[in-house]
Amino acid sequence: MKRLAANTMSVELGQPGAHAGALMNSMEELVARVRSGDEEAFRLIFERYSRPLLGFIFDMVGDRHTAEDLAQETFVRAFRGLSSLRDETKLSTWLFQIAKNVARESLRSRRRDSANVEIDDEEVFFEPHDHRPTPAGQLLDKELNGVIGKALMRLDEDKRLVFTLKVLQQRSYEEIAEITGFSVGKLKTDLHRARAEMRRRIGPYLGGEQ
Amino acid sequence: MRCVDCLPFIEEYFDGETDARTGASVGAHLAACADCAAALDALRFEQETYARYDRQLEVSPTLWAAVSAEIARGPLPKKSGNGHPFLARLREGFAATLAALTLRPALASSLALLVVGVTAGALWLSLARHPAMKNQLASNEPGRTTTVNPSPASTNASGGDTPTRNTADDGPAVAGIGQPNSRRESGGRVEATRYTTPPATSAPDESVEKLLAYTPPAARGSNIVVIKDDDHETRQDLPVFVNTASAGEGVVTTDARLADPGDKEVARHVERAQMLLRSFKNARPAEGDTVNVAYEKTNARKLLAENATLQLDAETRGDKDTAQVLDSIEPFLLDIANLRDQPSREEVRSVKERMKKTEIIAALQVY
Repeated sequence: MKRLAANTMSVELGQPGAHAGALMNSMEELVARVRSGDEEAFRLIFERYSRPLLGFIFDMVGDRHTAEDLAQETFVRAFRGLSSLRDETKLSTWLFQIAKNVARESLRSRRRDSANVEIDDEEVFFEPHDHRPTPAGQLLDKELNGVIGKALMRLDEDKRLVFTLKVLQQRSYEEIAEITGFSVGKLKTDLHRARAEMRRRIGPYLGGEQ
Repeated sequence: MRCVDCLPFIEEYFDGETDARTGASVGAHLAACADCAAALDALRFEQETYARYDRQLEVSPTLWAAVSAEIARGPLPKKSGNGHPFLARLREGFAATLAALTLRPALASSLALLVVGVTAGALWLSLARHPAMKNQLASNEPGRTTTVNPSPASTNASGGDTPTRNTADDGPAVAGIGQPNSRRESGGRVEATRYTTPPATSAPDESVEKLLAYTPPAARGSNIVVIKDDDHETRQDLPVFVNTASAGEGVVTTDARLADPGDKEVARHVERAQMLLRSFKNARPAEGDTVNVAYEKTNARKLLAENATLQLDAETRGDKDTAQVLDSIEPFLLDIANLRDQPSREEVRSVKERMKKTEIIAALQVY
């Protein structure tokens, strides 16, 4: 705690990278504690990463309940496979790797199950969450959420993966390459195409373009 | 830098992924070019729009509860290095024992003999508990003969002396195998041959085809293997494989591959069968009105033999559930194995419909 406080102070004093270092250290410590059987330490990791991972999985599969199930699966796999994590400083990338695998497996099995069923992707995902009357701004945001969600689901899987990680999760190209296993060249191409597709689909919400 | 050189880098520049030199060039161009600067602004605006994207997701408290419950059920993560004191102590103890044995060759050889003795004893006991294996071993001993006699107390209404073959066309005895087996085609046909005890007057069936077939006792009449030596006669109710090449006066061999395959082998087999059925289900017409199922056919033939062995073993162990699952697979394997290499769409469809009707794939999936 003392070290964390000291690091926080150094961030406030403007030393670049100090906060990141503190986080790394604390994550390394947490991983070490989990490896020694401390479940409470794993709960702290869960609290730190559950939200971004849940969001990422949701963006990949487009369904709330499935996303929750897959997030659970991700953390269970992470806990059981923690021994295979070689570099504790890359815990976040590793967790996203697991989440990506879990989401892809789910998408694959869903494709198999609905192999002969024509899916109208306009209707399958993103049910309205709240039917109560809302102020105009909120209504617009809700509409935008629905439009972005639908546009995301219409991207092919690779493009959706790269777009989600870069634009929605703000990951670096290097991290994305590690998570996806794609080359930087491929991910740049996919990202460019995904941006163009998304631009075309949500054009009216981007100030009347397209 | 010109616009055509700048624009390909503009997303990378926006993402902060350009190297320092390219970044400086692009930055200098953007400061001077209104069109390229507008493209960068458009990217910024897009990013702001995506930043407003609210999935309306909250991490439910039940999520951690579910994760926690799940990991409590499973094993703890493996320790790396010298993490666990118990394992470290175990390793040390093992190393110390090895060192002691190295120093005392006499003790080491005594221990080795002990291990060999215990292993041999365990093997002998397991064979003694497995009557089928015991008989198989016994049949190989000199001075012993193995013959098949019908059971006087046969469950078959007709009773009799010699096993004869019932095929799908022979009537009710085969009905239990499943209707999918009821077609007959010429050429390379695999048959599920069922043996029952026929009337006492019946002669051995001379037209037994050259095939390996087995008869689970629960499904059909008894098959009695009589093992005789000088002063003993042991009757053993055994499913038998008939070596039809030598099918004569009721002479059979007990070529029952009765090694215990274990649950894993059954699970693997069921999985392979499931994959095969899925593959068959997804087979699409290739040319004209035919469907190419040559691969599935070959696999079905392989699995058929394995299915028979495992079913036999399950029945020997009294594992009725496994035997039933394997029994339910058999008709479909037979159907696929007996198809022509290029069957018509209609032939394939009829098998697929039966698969759908019986929900065999779903049943195998939950096995």
